[in-house]
Amino acid sequence: MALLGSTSLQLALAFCGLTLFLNLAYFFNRDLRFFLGAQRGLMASAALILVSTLALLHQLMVSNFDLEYVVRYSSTATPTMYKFAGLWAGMEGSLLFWLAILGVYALLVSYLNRTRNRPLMPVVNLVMGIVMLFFLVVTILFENPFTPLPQGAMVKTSGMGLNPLLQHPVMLIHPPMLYLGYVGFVVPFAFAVAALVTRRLDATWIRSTRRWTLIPWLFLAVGIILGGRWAYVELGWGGYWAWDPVENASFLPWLTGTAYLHSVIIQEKKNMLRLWNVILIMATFTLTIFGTYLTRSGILSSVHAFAGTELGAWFFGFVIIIIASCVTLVLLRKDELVSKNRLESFTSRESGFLFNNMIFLALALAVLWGTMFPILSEAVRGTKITVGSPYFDRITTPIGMLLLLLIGVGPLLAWRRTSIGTMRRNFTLPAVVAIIALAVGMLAGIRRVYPLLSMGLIAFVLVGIAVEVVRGVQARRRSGGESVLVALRNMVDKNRSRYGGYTVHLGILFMFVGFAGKAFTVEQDMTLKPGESAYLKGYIFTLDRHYQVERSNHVALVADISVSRHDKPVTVLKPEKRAYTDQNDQPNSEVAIYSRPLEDLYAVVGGVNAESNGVVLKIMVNPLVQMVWLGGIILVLGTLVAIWPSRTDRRLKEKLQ
Amino acid sequence: MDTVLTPILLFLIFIGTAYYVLVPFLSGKVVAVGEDTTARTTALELRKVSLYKQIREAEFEREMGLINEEDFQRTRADLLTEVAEVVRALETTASDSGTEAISTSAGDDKLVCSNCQTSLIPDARFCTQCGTEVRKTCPHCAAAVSPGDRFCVSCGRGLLN
Repeated sequence: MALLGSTSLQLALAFCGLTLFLNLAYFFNRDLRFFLGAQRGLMASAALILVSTLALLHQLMVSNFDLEYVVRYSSTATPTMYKFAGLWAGMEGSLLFWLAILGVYALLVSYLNRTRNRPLMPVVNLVMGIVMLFFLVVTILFENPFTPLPQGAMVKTSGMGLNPLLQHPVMLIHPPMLYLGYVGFVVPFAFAVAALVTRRLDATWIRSTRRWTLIPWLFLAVGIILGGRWAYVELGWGGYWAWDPVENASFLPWLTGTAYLHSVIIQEKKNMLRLWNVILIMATFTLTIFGTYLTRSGILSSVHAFAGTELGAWFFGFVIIIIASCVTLVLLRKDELVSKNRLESFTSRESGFLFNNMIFLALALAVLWGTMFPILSEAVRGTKITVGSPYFDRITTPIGMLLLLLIGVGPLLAWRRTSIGTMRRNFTLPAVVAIIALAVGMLAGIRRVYPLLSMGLIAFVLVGIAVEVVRGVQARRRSGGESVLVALRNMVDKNRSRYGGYTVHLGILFMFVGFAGKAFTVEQDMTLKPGESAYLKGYIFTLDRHYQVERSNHVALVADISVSRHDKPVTVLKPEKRAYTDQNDQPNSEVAIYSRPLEDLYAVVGGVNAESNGVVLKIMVNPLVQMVWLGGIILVLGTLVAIWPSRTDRRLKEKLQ
Repeated sequence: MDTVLTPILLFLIFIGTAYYVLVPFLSGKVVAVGEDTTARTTALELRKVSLYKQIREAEFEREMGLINEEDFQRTRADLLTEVAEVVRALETTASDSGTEAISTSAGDDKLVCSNCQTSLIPDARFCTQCGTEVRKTCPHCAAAVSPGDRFCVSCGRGLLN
């Protein structure tokens, strides 16, 4: 099976090379047979990569310790589902997994466009083929997961097992989601390049890639949120976002991708921002490869980073080639990318979108600067200076507030133009409610600027969206006499991107509520003996007992902590400190969380003092964290609403076919 | 067993894949014809649909009270001008290629405003002189439709009756 895996990978490389040759030949002779051959070659390479990936999965499942990769990332004691996660636990497997996802996208794009976008497809195939070739070369030459264990290597015969931190259900979903997001941006990027090369710069490529952009954007968002969830429940510091370089690396393409999703609407409607959109999607794709470079090179220290290898130089070179090619292509086509149309009015939704783009870009640049600062400072001053959360919080919070304001303002503006009188009418109710929310916040004793401002802005956005939806339903009911539910359904179906977008905004709003709650977190480190209690924010935490439990691959110290409030029992928290027997007794904390709608009770056990019998604990009360996850769910639902084809779209598709 | 079967399996995979990739070369040279025209027509059709959607959206925004009547009329006039340009471009494309564009219709289908008798382009939904809505709308949902369409681009219901 290992032979099948490694040879399939080599065959994929050979067919990928053939694909590129046939594709290039097609550009010279315009013989469709070469295009079809190239298309099939790409699909064949993709299928062979999938065979290879299945072969590696099989090797992990059957614990074939003849392979070095299986020894390092699996063990006989590793639970089956985490053997599966071994596929992306190490450098070699994760590169193959990257390729497998690229293969799935390549197969889908080739199949779904077999009769569509004919003029663009040869270049689309070429771009995807080049990316595939690069990853195949680095995987086969430097990080082959099918490398046999060297003769006489001193390793545990039962395997070294998966890092305990990765043994969490979220880890089964978080990496695949992120990869689906990262890799998926290759599709709109390839279409953008194709539009430039073939000089078909109208909005066709934008429309053809609308879903191909929304889908990776959604996966990336889900991946980032699940990463936050994992950090929150697994790492034991009580937060979900630490501005870690690799977190930032996933956040950057999401930011530029979000800006792109907004600005393409203007190109679709007004045929404007053609240059800007091309630059945004190119930046987004480059950032995904750059993120992969950050993770693979070991250039920055991060909980995510793989050990530094020679791959860094290859990825850096690839990033440089991508940037150079994109810049050249854009410069060659810059005259054709200039739009003749202009914005009709400053007070229009288009200008709101432009501001939103500026803010997303500013946010992306601020995060990029902070992420790159250690590298830049080392290059300039010779010492690596890391900027931590304070820098990011200080810079991103005000930008986030501006973004929140725009989320509220956007829906209150009409496309093309909105007169001042109408604007005044549209803004009155949300602004009044926002002022009331601010006053309530101040009366409740909140004095910090950002939480207070958040309250006002959140109220403003919420009322803005509600007013828009209520007015829409009323308008439909007036004209068509529909019931409220039917009117709502038809209104959404008529304009899925608009109302899907509002739902996503609602999700973001909930997340901001969660972020604001972080300012009110209460935390206390303590040592309790059995029977002793501690008081924190209205709750009494009592250590009932502590004991040891032996499980298949670890021994756990468990502390039972009873929680009560106003003399009524609330829950029993059972945080654990584990020592993984297949990982040289590597310790790992298992956090206990009790979630209430408005706050989480969070307990971590540090260890037990053998002399005093005291258990070292960290207890936190985290307000509104649930809002972040709830916001994530709403964001997913909203994106699905936007992705789902409307009845109009389905009819149009049939007509054009 | 595995050492014998795997190489055979790999050989079969290689032969099968190579055949799949190279099978287009079993036929003679194939050159695409009319690709540019089709792509241009599709782009214009999509643009036309987008403009009609924007008109509908503007109507909806007026009904919602998001824009006032004056803004709506200006927006609609701008969009209609663009629609006329697109329709003209579609006709040019169709006549250049000597074929009929995907859903542009029927060249002889003259449209006259019932209010002021102005001759209008076949796809017109409103009169360019007096602004009266002319007949090219879906009887079910009032969306703008092209002459010759069998189904409404908006609600999907049949237009023949």
